Amino acid sequence: MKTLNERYDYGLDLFLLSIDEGIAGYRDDSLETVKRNKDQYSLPLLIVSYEQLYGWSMDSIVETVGRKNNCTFCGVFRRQALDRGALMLDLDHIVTGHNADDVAETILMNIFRGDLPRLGRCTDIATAGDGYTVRSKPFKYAYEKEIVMYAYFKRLDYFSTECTYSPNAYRGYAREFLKDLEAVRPSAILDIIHSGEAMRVAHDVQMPVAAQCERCGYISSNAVCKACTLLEGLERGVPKLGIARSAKADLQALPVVAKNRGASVQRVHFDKLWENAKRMREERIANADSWCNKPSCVCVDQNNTESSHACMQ
Amino acid sequence: MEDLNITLKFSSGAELMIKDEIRFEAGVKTGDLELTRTLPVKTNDNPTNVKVLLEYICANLIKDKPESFYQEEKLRPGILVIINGSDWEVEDGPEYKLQNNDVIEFISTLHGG
Repeated sequence: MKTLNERYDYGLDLFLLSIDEGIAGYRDDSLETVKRNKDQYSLPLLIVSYEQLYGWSMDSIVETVGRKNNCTFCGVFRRQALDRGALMLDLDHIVTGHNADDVAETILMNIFRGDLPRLGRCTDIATAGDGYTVRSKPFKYAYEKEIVMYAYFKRLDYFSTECTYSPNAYRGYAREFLKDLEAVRPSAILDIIHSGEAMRVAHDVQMPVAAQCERCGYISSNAVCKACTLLEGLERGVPKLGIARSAKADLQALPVVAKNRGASVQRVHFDKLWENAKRMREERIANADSWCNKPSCVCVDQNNTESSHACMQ
Repeated sequence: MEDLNITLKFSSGAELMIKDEIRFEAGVKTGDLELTRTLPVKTNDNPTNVKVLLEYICANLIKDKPESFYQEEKLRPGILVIINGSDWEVEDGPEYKLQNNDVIEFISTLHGG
């Protein structure tokens, strides 16, 4: 992005946003690398951690729930963490490094599990997310191998330690299968993505509707978002809440006033984050001195016809 | 009959597949690993190619499960091979005949997260 931004003068302000899940031996390595990247590419860096946002690190979560379903916690928390981080920085767009292999694996996983709503969304190259920050994956059609070879030839600094908890991940099965397919027919990865994109949900199928979580305000298809559900389970000592159906019954069986087990923090409500971000965005627009009304320009039309500012030149 | 000196490099996780004692011998605990090994040149109708090298590595250098590296006469998909700075698919792949002082690198893409 940095190279393209400079070469083609996109006029973008780029930031590095990194999530610290609190996994010893894995995330520490990658955070060291990100800090080096910050200097190598001269980009500002923000690191947000699960500990800071939710009061639980992945290591403490795994200690509580065991070694299964860890990816569920991590994935749900990371998604929200990225959106929170984006609002803290007043970002317009998040770009992730998901590559073709990742997208193909996700499509396979969703088919294996029959997850229809996700299957419909996972091939979108850009998603509106919570409606505030757009999220896209520019490497969607780039094979992991191509990216590794590029990094090799350009001598790019990247980390490649394996997540300590990934050996038990379901994605591993999809990945093995995909790699075997690729060895036989390399176009399989792009073919799977193409098939995934071509799939349509029948219009009489009831799909979940996007609503707001009643506790934290995050986008959710249920009354309470997955992150809040998982956290409640952790705090109340029913760690399978949000994962196993039977867990809901266990929760109801608990006394009404249950003592909080974990060291949870008061989560900032999304309405507040949006308010702050909107204010920052308005300030940003008001202070920018390079707004014009050229239709092709990236800046917002603001009735500013001065010819002295940057994009008019 | 000459012996071939081959430099082997393992990075991005591939180094973790190598036996601990070999890694310690090379003075490397974590991070990229570089080794040199000598292989005999075989006769013309059975040349020392990369396939032979893979079998050698599988038999002598890989710890625990050799099939995580080389299985059913094929390198585990997801491990990239670079011969003297070029992708092995641009060369002859496993059929490439090794030459003295060749540098063969193994880059793993098999990691989660």
